[in-house]
Amino acid sequence: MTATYDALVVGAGVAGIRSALDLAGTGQKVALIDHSPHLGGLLVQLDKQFPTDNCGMCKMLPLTERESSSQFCMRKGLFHSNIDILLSTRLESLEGDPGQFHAVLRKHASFVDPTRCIGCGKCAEVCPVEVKSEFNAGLEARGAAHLPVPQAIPNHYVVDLDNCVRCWRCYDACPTKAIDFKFAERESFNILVADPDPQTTADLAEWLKKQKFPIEGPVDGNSVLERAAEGKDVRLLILDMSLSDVSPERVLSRCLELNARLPVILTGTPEQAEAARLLEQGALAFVEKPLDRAKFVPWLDKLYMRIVSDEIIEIDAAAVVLAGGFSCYDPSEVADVLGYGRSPGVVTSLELERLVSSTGPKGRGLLRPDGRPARRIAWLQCVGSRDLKKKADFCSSICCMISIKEANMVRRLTAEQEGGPAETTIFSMDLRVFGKPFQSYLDEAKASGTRFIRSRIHSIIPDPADPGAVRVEYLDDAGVLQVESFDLFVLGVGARPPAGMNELARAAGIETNEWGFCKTMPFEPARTSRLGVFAAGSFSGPRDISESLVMADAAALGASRLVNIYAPLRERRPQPEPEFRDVTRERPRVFVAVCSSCPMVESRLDTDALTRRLRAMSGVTGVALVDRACTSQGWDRIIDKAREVDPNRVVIGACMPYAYVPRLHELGKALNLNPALMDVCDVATLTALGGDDGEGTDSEVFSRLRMSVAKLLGADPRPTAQARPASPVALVAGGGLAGLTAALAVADHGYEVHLVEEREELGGLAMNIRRTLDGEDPVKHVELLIDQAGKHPNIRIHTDSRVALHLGRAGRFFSVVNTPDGPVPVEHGAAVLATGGVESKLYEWGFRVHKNVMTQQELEQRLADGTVDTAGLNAVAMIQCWRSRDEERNYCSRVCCQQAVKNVLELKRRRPELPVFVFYRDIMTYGFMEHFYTEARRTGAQFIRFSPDNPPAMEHRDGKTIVSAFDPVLGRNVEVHADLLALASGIEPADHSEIAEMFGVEMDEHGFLKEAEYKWRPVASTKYGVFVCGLAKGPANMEESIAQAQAAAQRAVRMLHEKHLASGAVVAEVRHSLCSLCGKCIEVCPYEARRLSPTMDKIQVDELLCQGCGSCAAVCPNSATILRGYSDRQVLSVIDAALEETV
Amino acid sequence: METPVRETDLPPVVISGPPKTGGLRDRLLELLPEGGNLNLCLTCGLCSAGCPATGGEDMDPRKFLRLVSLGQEDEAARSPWVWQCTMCQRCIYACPMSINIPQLIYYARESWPRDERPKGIRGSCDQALKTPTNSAMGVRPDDFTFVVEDILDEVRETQDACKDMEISINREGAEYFLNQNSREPATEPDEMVPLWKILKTVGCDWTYSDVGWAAENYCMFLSDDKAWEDVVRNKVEAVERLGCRYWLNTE
Repeated sequence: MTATYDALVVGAGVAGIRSALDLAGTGQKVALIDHSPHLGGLLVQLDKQFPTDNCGMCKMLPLTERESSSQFCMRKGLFHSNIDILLSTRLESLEGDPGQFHAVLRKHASFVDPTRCIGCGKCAEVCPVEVKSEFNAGLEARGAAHLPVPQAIPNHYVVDLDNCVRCWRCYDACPTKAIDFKFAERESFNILVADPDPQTTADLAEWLKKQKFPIEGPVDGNSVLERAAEGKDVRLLILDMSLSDVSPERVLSRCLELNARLPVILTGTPEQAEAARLLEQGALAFVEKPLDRAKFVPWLDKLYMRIVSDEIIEIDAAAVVLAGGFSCYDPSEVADVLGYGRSPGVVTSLELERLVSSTGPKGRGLLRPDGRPARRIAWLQCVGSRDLKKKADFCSSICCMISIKEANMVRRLTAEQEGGPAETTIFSMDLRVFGKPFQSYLDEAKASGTRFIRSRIHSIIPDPADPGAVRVEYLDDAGVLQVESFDLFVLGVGARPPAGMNELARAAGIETNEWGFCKTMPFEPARTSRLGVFAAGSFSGPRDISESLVMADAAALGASRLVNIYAPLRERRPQPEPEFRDVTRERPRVFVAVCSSCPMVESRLDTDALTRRLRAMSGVTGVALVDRACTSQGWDRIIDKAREVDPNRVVIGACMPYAYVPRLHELGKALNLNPALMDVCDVATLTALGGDDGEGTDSEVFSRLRMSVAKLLGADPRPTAQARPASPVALVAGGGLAGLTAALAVADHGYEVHLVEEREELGGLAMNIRRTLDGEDPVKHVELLIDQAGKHPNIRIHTDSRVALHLGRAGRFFSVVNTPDGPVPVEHGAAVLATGGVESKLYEWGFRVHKNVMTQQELEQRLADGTVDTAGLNAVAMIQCWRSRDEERNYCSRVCCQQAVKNVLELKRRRPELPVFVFYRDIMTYGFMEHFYTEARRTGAQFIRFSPDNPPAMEHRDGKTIVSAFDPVLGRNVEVHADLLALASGIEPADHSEIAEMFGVEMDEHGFLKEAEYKWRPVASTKYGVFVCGLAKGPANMEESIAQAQAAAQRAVRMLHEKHLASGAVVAEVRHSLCSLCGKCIEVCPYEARRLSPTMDKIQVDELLCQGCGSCAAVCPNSATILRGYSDRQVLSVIDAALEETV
Repeated sequence: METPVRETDLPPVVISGPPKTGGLRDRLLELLPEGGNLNLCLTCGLCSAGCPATGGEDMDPRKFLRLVSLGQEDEAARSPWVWQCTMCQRCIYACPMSINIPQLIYYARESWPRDERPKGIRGSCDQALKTPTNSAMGVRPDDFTFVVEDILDEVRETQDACKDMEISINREGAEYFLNQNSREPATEPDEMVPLWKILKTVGCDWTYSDVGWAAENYCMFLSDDKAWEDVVRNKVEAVERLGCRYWLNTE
């Protein structure tokens, strides 16, 4: 059967999850698959992220409609009513067209029945296999039977068949018979052998006796065809290439016509090369003859297990998002110089993350290989990046910040050690801190004591004087050779396309770029080469989390736009809001249902006694034992039994409480009762873990159920807040590239958009750019957008206009736009601020005085319009970071180095012999832009690094500018007599103070509009319902601005789609009479949900923003803040219930 | 402070127009594929960190390359540092941009008048040219034969495992033709024995020749193309004369 989804998301790392949540949030059904057996991708291995130095993944969870999704740590797992998650699943093929794709998925079996696995770990204990643990980056071993990640919920063991040695010890050890190696099915696995040589059949029959496979043969080609036509039961065909009566090709193709999934194994001599061609036609494998029994039998047996237990799933989907992530460069190939794999003190950055993690490899920690504490730790950047020899003419973009973060983590971890924090040293070339908050992060790291040395390392060797350490030589900043020893040397490994990229690209029918990452289209950063297939996260190039999420939103937006064409979101009927009865005035009547078929319940629990004890509790009106609560029949039984007693509280004792969240909604509808008055309590784990004899299990289970009853008895039965209707209109402020992109994206979803631009013309800063680094024409693109916006039936453009008034809250804002034709009132559900930035103004150093001094952008324009005559030039100088990354403006403007490289290439194209000198601090050509920096150097342009405390000096003489700077490589000054000097002025925010105040959003310390959370909510402003993108948010190039605009549009659509905005059941409230207005709760709220009222006499809670985390209640000195659903009395009574003597 | 500024008496490098053509740099750019990648330098310092000659004459490979890139090739080539390079190729081996610094050094050496090149290297090259053995130490054919036979006798007598060891000189048709650095027969003859033992253990069919056996080639280090060629030709002829299949050079 084929399931139908709106979208298929391939890859369940943070980007895939984000895309899936985006789409699910607008009511779309999503299939989310991942090839690994766990969610979360690489992030499950990283405890902390830069620049926040914490995790925060949960901030991706929906803020409204919270009940549709799980509401716990996302490192543990995710449930969402619109998302079906398929793990250990790969995309095999993708046929069809946008709007009607047909995908074939293969789900690898784990051989462990999740409904029976109790996570006891006995299988892993007995497994004799030792392979490198993926979770701990190979620093420890795992068995074939193993737990993929320690923290997942639910968490089941899996058997990795590829490494299994088929000893079946785990099968015998499993106490709940959860492991299934398909022993019973072997006898019906008919193998047909079509081989003229009777010896083959005879051998196979003998060899496979123990496996009990029925072997039939030898048969000739005609009888194979007959059997296939008759539909006789053949589970596997072994087809020899020397078959003569019918050609093997014919047999194969005919068999596959009749049964496309028939597994066929080809055998033949090595010379029978045509077999390779047949493989492509659908045979599973080619095995060389003579068959080697020792290899063939286990191989065939594993193949059998795969065939009978792998699941082929076919789905239809309108759009596809690929979020395959990236992998880390393996430095084994440079073991001879960098010592990785030879000196145990040399580790990769991922391995270091595991070493400092609390779930890291046992007995390792931050130690030298000889067990002594590691006190001197160094990082080496660009291992496998920025290296032509390793075919990596790109920058991996994230490693500089990762190493700085790791240095911070190490210093914090060792702060209490004798002698203070460990010494941390980072060896690098450029420090690529191009993200908005990164420069300050670097400054802090320097201030806290991490040493930064500008040198790549040639070789890392064991220290002859101290065998536990390694030794390196390097040039210090003064150019003097130094020798130094370190306890651990961390290789900052670069990014590579994900493992299995080629297979995925082939299956999805997409092209890759020259570095093997997914190729994307100009000005469409999330679009792949195949229409309807989008790229999220770092699948199209290395990115940090923040940018990956932006790309995930942009990809989701692309998918959503497409889905919307076939099944318009606006016309979809929302699920009717269930109406629950008000039980405020009723006496509590608790119904307790306990699942009696969880694996160990029967043997370890005295269910009669348990029922008796529960019935005796005050407030409990009914108790029922239910068989297999996890099945729909079991669930129906719960509903029936509950109806009999008409409860107003329900407790269910079962396994995996999180999995029951959607079920509670069903129950709520059936009983007309708010699911907030229901609780699921895990009794399965208790019965499983209660010691070998099960002693104490009864009272443990009873105690746990009693706690749940106490919790519900104390629950606030008042109905939750009424949902607010949302207005299906968006307001976009700013008509530049970002604003236009966002407006069109929202309007394509059928929502009305008001696009407001201050100036008389749309287009913004992008109209000044002649050419992108890739050679594309931005003006043409922006003109196209202007044209599309002008013609779009859903867009109203207001130029020469300003927003004059803005009131209201998310879902229902009211703004007034002052236009030349008078004020226009706009009622809207969401707003996107794309109010742009400006090129910084320069006044000093001859700018505007000397004609030969100009900004990089002016140089580009003048090269384009011919007002600079390159033929008359003798030398050109450029100075980067002219106004960026200093105290006044402590951020990298990102675009200036790209601009410089672009100008260098153009100058050198016209005059190859012209000396061009670029004075820089760090060249920030991150990602694939590094390639253009390489090309710029190839032309012979010279790049000279300067230090901010010793910037280049300038003197104007005879129409020339003499730029003089200290070259740290030569150790002496370089003097360039330049006819032309270009200064990188940088990006500054436009004046946002008015708009920020009006919209109630905050600005950051630089004057850009501030993100709600840089990492996890990158396009949300600090006010719910208002989104930010483009230069208004921070420096960005065009592709990045477009992606952000699409991300902001995606968030806006998500909001507009909600016909009603409802808060979660658990939100905080303030008892104003007890509140002393101390403001502590405002400081600790991680969601900015609290503020002081405009009248300054009340703390207000935005219940849409409040996520019920309880931080406010914890810090409130007067108990003035309470968390609905967690009152003091309720929590204390739960504790009492836990501690009460068992009678 | 990011960069310690060093006091330097050296005058600034002045750039006021396109660099002069026809120099060292152009030669490299013309002759090597991709110009030896000369321009691609990231100034990462990896070469200098791995170079045994770094620091000598206040020079290192990165600085040398930078001087050339900035058009100061005469100054670079004149530096006596060019004679400290051992041509070990550690720099190009690990350089992320595969920049051919050793080739650059070679050309720089070539730009020196022959009689100003270091006496030691020049003398060794000249010596090698003078004797058919190509020995930089002037070891003559008969000296070599004598030393080998003398040491062989000694080894046979003193070491049981070597009682039946055979060494051939000028044996035609042997599979391997073995070269030997002349430092060993001239000053440390015992040092030849370990290799003999290895070759015996693996059952190698090899021979010495009394001419063209000296493995070292100082003419290469001298950047004297003609002399280098003469030396190599003489050795090749020796190999071919004996009809050996492989020429095993231990340098």
